[in-house]
Amino acid sequence: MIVGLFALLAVVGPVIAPMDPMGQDLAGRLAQPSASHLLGTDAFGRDVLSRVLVAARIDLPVCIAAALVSALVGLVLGAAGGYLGGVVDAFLMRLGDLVMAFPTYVLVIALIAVIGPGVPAILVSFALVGWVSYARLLREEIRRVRREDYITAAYLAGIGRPTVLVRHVLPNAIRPVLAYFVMDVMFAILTLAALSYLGLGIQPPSPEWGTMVAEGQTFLQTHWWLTAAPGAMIAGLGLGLLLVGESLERRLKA
Amino acid sequence: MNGHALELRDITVTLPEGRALVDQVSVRLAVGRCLGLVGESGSGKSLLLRSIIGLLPAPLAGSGSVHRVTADGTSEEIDREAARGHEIGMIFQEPMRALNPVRRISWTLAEPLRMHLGLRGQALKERIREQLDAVGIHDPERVARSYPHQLSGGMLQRVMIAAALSTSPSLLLCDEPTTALDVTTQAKIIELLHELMAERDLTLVFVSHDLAVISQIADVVAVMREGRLVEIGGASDVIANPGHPYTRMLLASVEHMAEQKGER
Amino acid sequence: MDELLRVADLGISYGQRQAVSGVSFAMKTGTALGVVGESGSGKSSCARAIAGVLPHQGIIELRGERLTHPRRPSIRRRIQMVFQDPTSSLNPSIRCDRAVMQVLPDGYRGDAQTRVQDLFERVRLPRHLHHAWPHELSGGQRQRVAIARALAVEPDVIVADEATSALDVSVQATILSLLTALRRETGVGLILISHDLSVVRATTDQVLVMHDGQVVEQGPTERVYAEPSHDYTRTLLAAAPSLRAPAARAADEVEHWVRT
Repeated sequence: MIVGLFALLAVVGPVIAPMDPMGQDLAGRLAQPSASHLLGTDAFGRDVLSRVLVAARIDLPVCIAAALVSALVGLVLGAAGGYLGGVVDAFLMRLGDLVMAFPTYVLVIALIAVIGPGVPAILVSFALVGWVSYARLLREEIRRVRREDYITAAYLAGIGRPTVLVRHVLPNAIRPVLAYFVMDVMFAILTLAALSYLGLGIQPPSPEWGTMVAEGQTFLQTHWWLTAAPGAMIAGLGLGLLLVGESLERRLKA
Repeated sequence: MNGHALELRDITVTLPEGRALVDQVSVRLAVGRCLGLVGESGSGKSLLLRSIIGLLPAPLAGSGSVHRVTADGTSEEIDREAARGHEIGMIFQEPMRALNPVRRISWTLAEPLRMHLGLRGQALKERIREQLDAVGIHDPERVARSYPHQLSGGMLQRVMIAAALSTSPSLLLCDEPTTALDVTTQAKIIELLHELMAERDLTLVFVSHDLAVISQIADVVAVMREGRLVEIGGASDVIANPGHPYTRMLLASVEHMAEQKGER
Repeated sequence: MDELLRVADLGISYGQRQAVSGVSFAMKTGTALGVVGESGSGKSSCARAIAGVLPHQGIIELRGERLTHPRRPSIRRRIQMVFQDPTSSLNPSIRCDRAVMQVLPDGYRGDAQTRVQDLFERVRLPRHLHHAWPHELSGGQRQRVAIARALAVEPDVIVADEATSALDVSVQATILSLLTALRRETGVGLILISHDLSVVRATTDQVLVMHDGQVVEQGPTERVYAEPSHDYTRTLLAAAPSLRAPAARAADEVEHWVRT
């Protein structure tokens, strides 16, 4: 429900936004919330409400893309590890341990420092860090499903091992991964906001919640809504995704 | 017999929407006897058992009462909440699941003794040893020191029986206690239960899907189907002259194999 | 009758531990062999080795052809298994009719549907359940689908590993008579693995009694049950509960009543 609202926002955001999110009005800087600017204006006189709404258009797709990329990498490596086993599996899992042993943010920040800030850097760094959880999850599930009798039955029916993997193992192993994916989008939103706040994510002047929080911070004492509005968006979307993820998990288990 | 008896009165288990899974079952059973409850999955036999001891799973509601009746006809209701784990004991199909895996056997056995009998220290140890000895465990010291995963299924079931009997209950509820065991072990556990009944004037309600097992232990056989008792009678009677078509069907399924052989 | 399956000196080891050794038998087309034993006796390992899902030592010959491990797909299809656990025997994300259709031999392209219906009728699965999801079926119905799936492959041998143990007695009896009927109709060989002595007695021609990974006694089923020669077989038979209630417990001595 909440997520649906946000997704809708991302699509129609520019249409319903009352002002041009990039339009500066240096005369009307830091205006109080009023009828013309419901959430006031920021340090460049831009309409905060418009910026908050339009930011959904940037945050949501980037985060979904980020989660998708790490999911894809993770699923391929997890499937390889879970199905091939042996040396491949051991190598991948140790590699995963290595990544996990690094503090996530330090790793992401280091990667972005190398590649340079921006969307491609975000996707690459998320994939490099995020694949481990997907790979582990899928690997465990594959190992569980492989012990089921219907897998033996499929093998006995003369179906080749790769086909058994794709047609019989994966569809049953992938369920918990779906639930985790939704959760991961939420983590991505939080991480992206944090990176942008640090100036390593989406670059100004594009409206992005994390960036906006950072920009508004200077005026926190006098103009708290500059920080609160994007902050509330992050929290709201995060909560929405969390709820979807949890209900999905419950439903897939049943 | 001393004429004492236990009575289950109108034991009912219902779903929240009102459908009865166990429907007003009433039985009287002489003390020191075994009632064998037989039925297929979904017949309500296990629920009936759990209802007696007040251990129904969450959305289910139970009603009815258990009474102790003396020879002169006076009856007294047993407070089942207070009696649980004290006057009424219970053993389960999978002893492995009923035992705490990170605790030694002695810990599990000590708990009810401390709670209900207030035993401590050396007296407690001695009592545990006696209990394990009573259920035919020949090296009680070693078993008491063991963790559940170190013992076999049959040994664990003996431990569970010892635990259930630790507070000298008058009624022992058995929920498929031999189903998960090998036949040779099953035979030994049934023999043990026979001995314990004779020694302690223990009354048993024994639930099983297996008519053959029931016929080995029960004095009275009750056949359950869809929450009701469709037939009840002396064990040899019910097996020799089943009155209800469902009982005949159950017996036929067991004997079916022999018939099939005959066809050839 | 010709020889269907010959197993000689079958051995199975898990790492250093020799779980099964020295299992030998031969069976003819359309006959049934029972393997009885308690948990840990190695009977399930034997089943899996014969079906080709477990590496083994010794010889397994199907119609005179030696089977190696691992087996080629076409060889694998000749021995099928039916498993114990109805909750795990069917793929939860595939409907019953598709599950069976998937394993049909090539050459059923057009009339695959008819063939599946045929099989389901043969295992007496009610028509409205043909297109059901596995979770909509009871344990007995799932086992019927599993048997239909095994038959669909048109194997020479079906290995049933405790296939009826998780079922109610009445269902168990119908599944067992179904297996016997199918064996007589189609000539498929049946290997029945069970801890239940009565099940094996009713459905098999010859029996292997296993204990600690070894065969302690084998022979025609009637002979082994009537005159067991090995101590362990005798213990096993004595332990099996029979329907005869112990004497000296007259019914009238027992007080009981039901209120209706």
